[in-house]
Amino acid sequence: MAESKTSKSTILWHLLALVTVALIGASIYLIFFVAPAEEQMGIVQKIFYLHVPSAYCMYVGFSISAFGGLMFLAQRKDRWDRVALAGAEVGMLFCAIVLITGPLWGRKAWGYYWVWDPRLTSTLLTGMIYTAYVGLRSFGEAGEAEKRFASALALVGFPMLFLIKYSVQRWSGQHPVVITGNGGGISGDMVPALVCSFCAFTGLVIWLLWTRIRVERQRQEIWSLELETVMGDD
Amino acid sequence: MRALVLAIVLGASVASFAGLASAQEEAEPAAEDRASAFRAVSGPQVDRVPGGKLLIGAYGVAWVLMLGYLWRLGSLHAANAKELERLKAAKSDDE
Repeated sequence: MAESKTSKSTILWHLLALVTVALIGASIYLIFFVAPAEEQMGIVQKIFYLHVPSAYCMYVGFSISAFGGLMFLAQRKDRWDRVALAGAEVGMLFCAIVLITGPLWGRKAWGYYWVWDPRLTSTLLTGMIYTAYVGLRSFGEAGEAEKRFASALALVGFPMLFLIKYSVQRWSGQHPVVITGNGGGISGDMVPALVCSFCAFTGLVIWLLWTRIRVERQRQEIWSLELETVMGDD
Repeated sequence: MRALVLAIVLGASVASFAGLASAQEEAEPAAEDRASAFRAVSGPQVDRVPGGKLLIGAYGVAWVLMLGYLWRLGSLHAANAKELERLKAAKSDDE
């Protein structure tokens, strides 16, 4: 029964990988061959199709990390620690993409790479909090205390996500607001590329989280086997 | 439990800081007032704003980071699978 469950999940995992690769291919085609260049910024605007979905994946990763951290603190089950770790790592990956692609766009749009804008600064701070989390967990096998501390760190980082989201609305800054309920927006020709990109990144973030959790489960299995061996020797 | 309480207290501090700061800045224009619009280019205007290097740089870095992370996951998975096999074999030998 457990074996059939495992093979089912492996099939699903492969299927998701396949769908994600297909969606990434479709996104690349739509971004570079279908979506038009922007009037003011030219082709640099195409960074938008990478930057915005990456930011969304960063939110997903960090939120999952905070949720995993909260559940670990409440239940002390290793499965939640795996979720928290995977979320932090995958969130960090997308945060790095956001913090690199944003300034490259800014160089063209604003004339400089970086400005201490509220959204940029809060994103950097959030990235630093989760970098601390990943750094803490990267030093070998984490004990109970490290796991608890890391979980608390993941929780501390969570309110920062709201700060990133609302900083652009509450404080003035240079970061543009394109997707809003009122005003702004993108040309209709650009919508398919953006939608497809969001779908591809959704598949990617789920697949990466899933893979990272699987790898961490393996590692925890090794740890338990080693512990069993040591206890057996004693 | 202490860690949970500490996390909640710190989280609440950050949130309240954000709330206070936002209350002070209420006079700032709302996001909708500063909303940007992306319009498609028409005609040869695209040549006035070249930015190919920046675009290639952004997508290149994203691909490198992504593939690097995938490579890391792959190597971690392979190393773990090997170690698991070794430990299981050792365990069955002991039994």
